[in-house]
Amino acid sequence: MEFSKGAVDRAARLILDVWQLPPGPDGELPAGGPGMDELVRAMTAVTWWRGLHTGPLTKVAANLRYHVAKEGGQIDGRIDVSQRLKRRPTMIDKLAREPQMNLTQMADIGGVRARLPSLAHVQAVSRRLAKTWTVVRTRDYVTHPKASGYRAIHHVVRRDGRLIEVQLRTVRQDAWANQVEDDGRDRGVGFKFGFGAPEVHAYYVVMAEAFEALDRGRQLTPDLVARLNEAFTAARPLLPRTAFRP
Amino acid sequence: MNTQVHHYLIVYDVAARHAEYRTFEDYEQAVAEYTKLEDTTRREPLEREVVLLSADSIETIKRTHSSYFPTDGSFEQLLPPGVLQPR
Repeated sequence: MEFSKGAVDRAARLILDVWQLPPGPDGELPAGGPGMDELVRAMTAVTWWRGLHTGPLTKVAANLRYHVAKEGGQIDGRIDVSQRLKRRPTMIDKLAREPQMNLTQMADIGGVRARLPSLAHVQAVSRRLAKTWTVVRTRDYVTHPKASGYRAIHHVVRRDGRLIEVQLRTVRQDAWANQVEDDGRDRGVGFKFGFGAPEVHAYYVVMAEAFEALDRGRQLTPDLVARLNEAFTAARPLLPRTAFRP
Repeated sequence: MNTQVHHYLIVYDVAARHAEYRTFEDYEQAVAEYTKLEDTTRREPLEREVVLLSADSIETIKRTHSSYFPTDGSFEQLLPPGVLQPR
């Protein structure tokens, strides 16, 4: 079964509309919305579109492994490259957050990630990709970090007509991003998307600053250490406890 | 360089902080199973996340997607010892 891009975009909107209506009694579909047949057809169109990304995604990941190896980007002798096919709920949620976006324009349905030993490796691999691939967009969150503190270099590349997002991160940048995600899931709060207490976000921002200093081979200044401890003290009651959170 | 890629369909139990996964060699089959798991609920419950990740080994996934494989550790470990001294 095939769908036009327009049909895929309308299908995604339909799912979003259903999700945004209050459910009927006993979890039934909302009254006045589309019926089950229509919803199932919409789900089929969206997953069909996602499925078109598997081939290009695998090719991009294989190429990225090659480039990482060429730049000596192994960690403990391993190449840390993986790929993920976006979760359907996340695809639809993203449309809710960015109402101007259509599903067929979404650039990270197929995502590839490399975890690299240093900032120099992130930059070297990034330059290599820019030279050899069809890069349609670059977001350098190392030079211009997100307000959340997130740091990485992202390239959106076109492969076989599909958009694939490539994320290049140092070990510390990757640990930071995964921790924010893990904390958010644990607390049931979308920290990753800026939800939740400001104390927690303030802590993530200073922590990212500290990791940046370490990634650049700098010592943590007394001022940064003081701000880190202040932010940690304020955020600690709001964060999940682990053995390494004293 | 031809690395064999495997596909891991991960079901993460948020409360238990634990991931179960199934391994597939065939990507299409993995995607079909992924879609089936997603179809069981209209909108995913907060208690669970299903995601399809692929790499040369599950060890790589554990390193690049560590949030699905939490340990007692945390990013504070990556600071030099003694830096964090909360009041």
